[in-house]
Amino acid sequence: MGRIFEKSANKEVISLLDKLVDKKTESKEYAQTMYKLGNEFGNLILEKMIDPYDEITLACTVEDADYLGRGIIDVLEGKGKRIFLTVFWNKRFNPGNESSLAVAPIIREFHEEGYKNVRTMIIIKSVISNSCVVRTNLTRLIEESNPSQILIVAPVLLNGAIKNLENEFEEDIIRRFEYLYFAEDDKRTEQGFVDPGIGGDVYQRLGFESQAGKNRFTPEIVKERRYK
Amino acid sequence: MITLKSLEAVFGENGLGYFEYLVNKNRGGISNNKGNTFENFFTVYKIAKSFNENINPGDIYFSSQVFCFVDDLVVEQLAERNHWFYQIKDIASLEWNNRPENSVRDDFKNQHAICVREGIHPYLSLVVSDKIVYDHLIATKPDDIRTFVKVVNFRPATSLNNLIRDNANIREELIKMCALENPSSDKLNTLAAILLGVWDSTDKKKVSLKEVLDRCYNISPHYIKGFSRRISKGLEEIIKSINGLDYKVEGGFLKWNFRNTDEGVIQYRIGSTEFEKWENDLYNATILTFEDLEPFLVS
Repeated sequence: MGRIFEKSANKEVISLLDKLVDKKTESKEYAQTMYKLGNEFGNLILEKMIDPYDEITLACTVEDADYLGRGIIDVLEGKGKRIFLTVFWNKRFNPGNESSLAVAPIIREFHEEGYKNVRTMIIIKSVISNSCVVRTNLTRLIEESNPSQILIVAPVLLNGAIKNLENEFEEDIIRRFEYLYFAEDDKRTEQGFVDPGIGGDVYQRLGFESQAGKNRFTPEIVKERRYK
Repeated sequence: MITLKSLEAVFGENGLGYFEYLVNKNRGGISNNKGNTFENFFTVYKIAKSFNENINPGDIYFSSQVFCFVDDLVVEQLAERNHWFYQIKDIASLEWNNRPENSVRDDFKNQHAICVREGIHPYLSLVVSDKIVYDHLIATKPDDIRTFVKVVNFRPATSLNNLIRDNANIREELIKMCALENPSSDKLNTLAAILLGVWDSTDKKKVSLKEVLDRCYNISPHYIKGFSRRISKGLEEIIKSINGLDYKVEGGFLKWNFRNTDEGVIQYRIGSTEFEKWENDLYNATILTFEDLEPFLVS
């Protein structure tokens, strides 16, 4: 079947996705490409918000914060929206022999005050495959908040990821989900990455080398907003 | 574990027939016992419960698909000669007399007879996932097993995440076992997945609680409650020197908070080799601000 593009994936978006897949794209350009995809999502989100005056919580992982996350935030804040940023540092590992046992505990988190009291929550991830990280972070957020709209945003999804994610939540929560993505792939590489996905291991593509490397990193956007 | 000799001692010439029945029963059970199964979820619950009951971890053993009549999970406390036997059923209907021979009722009766003969204190339970089945089994429990067989309702789930959300029994035990006060779901899910992963990686034959815990302690973070209540003076001084940084020791883990925007838990248990190495790395660095400390908080 290969890659299927969503209607929202215009020429510009497709060329950005191609750039992610291209192994020759250096990490700086890769990060800029993620930022531009974030801008594209920002415009889509403006159309989707149930209440145009609402405040929004945007939750992301540490590796996505400065690029995909900032790309969305810049568009939304540019239109006068108030964003509460939440960043999670997840350590993903599998303590067993089965993929269904994979976990991604949150070992560090950053929250801007007010993040619990919003009607719209956006959770972003550069790629969603088995949805372990998104499920973990979303579960964490809805334990302490009650948004009426939850936008799940990723440039690329693996076929079946939505079903996997929805298997982990109750109907009352699933009703609030809306998915924004540009492409859906249906296979993985031998190493387990979505193929073509976002061109392999996002940590390496962004220059973090490894999971441990990205977890030692503090995004610039966190440093900027911490003392705001 | 039952032998032909022990069966013959209790059942006389019928012993051989029972032995052949147990060979077949055991073979069927083993082939269907990997991964995210109802039986394994129940075992994780019992492991967590044993930890919370402060039973000597070297004296309690877990086995699955044991060669006996009630065989899905057997928990043995050797010093006290207490044995807990569980038949675990994730099915939509069940009768005590489900077969003319070797029915569920017969299995419990026979298991009890063998234990009494061998001087073991047996605690026998039939664990079912379905509440309607549970109610039916309670209402129809035969008189000859009424006093020594308990029926337990343990809610099933399609995943560990759902199990922890929907099954109050396991959630409660995991919360007690977890180092952190009011643990978030990701911590409970991690703890449960580690217990399940460790259990599933053993041969499930006489695995002590100590062995399970030792294997869990090799995984970071495991979030299993520890005993340290304080950190070293030197580490405390580093933390206190940073304006806005606060810490708490919870269940042997160091939890930190900076200005109510940043928070986390150091993934190594206080006192572990990994924690000491982490602490040593801090002493060797120049830490004057939170930004200096940040790279060490998630290592």
